[in-house]
Amino acid sequence: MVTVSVAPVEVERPDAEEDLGTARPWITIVWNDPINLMSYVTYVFQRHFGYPKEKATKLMLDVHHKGKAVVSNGSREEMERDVSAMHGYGLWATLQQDT
Amino acid sequence: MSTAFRRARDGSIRASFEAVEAGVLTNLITQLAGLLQDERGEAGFDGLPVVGPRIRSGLADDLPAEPDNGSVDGPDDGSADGPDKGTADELADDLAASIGLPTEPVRAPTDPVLARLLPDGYTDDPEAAAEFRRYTEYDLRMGKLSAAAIVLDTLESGGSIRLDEAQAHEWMRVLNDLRLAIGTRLDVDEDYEATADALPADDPLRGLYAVYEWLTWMQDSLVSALSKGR
Repeated sequence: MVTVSVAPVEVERPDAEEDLGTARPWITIVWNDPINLMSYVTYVFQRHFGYPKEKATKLMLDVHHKGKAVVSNGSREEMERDVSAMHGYGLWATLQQDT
Repeated sequence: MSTAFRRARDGSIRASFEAVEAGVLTNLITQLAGLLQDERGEAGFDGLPVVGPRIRSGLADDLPAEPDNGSVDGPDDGSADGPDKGTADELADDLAASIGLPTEPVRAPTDPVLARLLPDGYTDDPEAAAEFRRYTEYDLRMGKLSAAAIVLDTLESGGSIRLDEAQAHEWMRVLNDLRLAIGTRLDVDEDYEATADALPADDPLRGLYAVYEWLTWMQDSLVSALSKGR
């Protein structure tokens, strides 16, 4: 587990990348909530991730029915950007290391 | 009665609002902006612009190119320079302060609406969540405030509105933020319609539910119009 101190993200990156070397990428999870519209969530997945409508719809339905869905994976830095973007759209997203 | 958003032949996004509807929207957006602007200073972010009808036209002038120094409660520079802090950390803090970031991790908002609008980025690591806030929350607040200003500018006092693609996307975000704010206040769940219907006819919350449904209808039509492409 990467621990983050008061050092900035850039300074932490070398550690994060070492952990990435163990083949445990980071993932962005979007969580279900009763407010966001299904049409809107699908639209956001298409627009931000560039997913085709079918994939975006499937992910939205996973969020809706299973309570959450993994919508992207990659480096910690990339996932922090995705999570920030999701928060900008009002979606409830978090990142974590894949288990 | 407002008309739903639609894609016009020229590619623009159109809708129209009665003056009273524009007034309701302006009021809601101004309240939302007040929350995000950190009026009570809880988050310790300086320099977030005030967004509201009085100054909306001049907002671009009020948006700082670079935020002022973030100031946070808790340890000041003196105690932050304690013996356990390395030079890299000190440099990092100096750099953070110079670009307006708080020098300490930022706590999650206590207000449930703000907590929903500015959620944690990590569920399993409070330290990482606070650190993530430190680096992202200011921009998130600023993005939402800028969107609010664009909506107020294009809405004006109602009537027909014509939006380009970028403006329409800001509208979509703002309508969603308003629904998140009101939905969180109302504690809506999947069955909120039954809850609303069961309220006494004179219950003041009925009005808020009606506004929530109106915003939902507007947002859904906007997503649909945007999905149609140009």
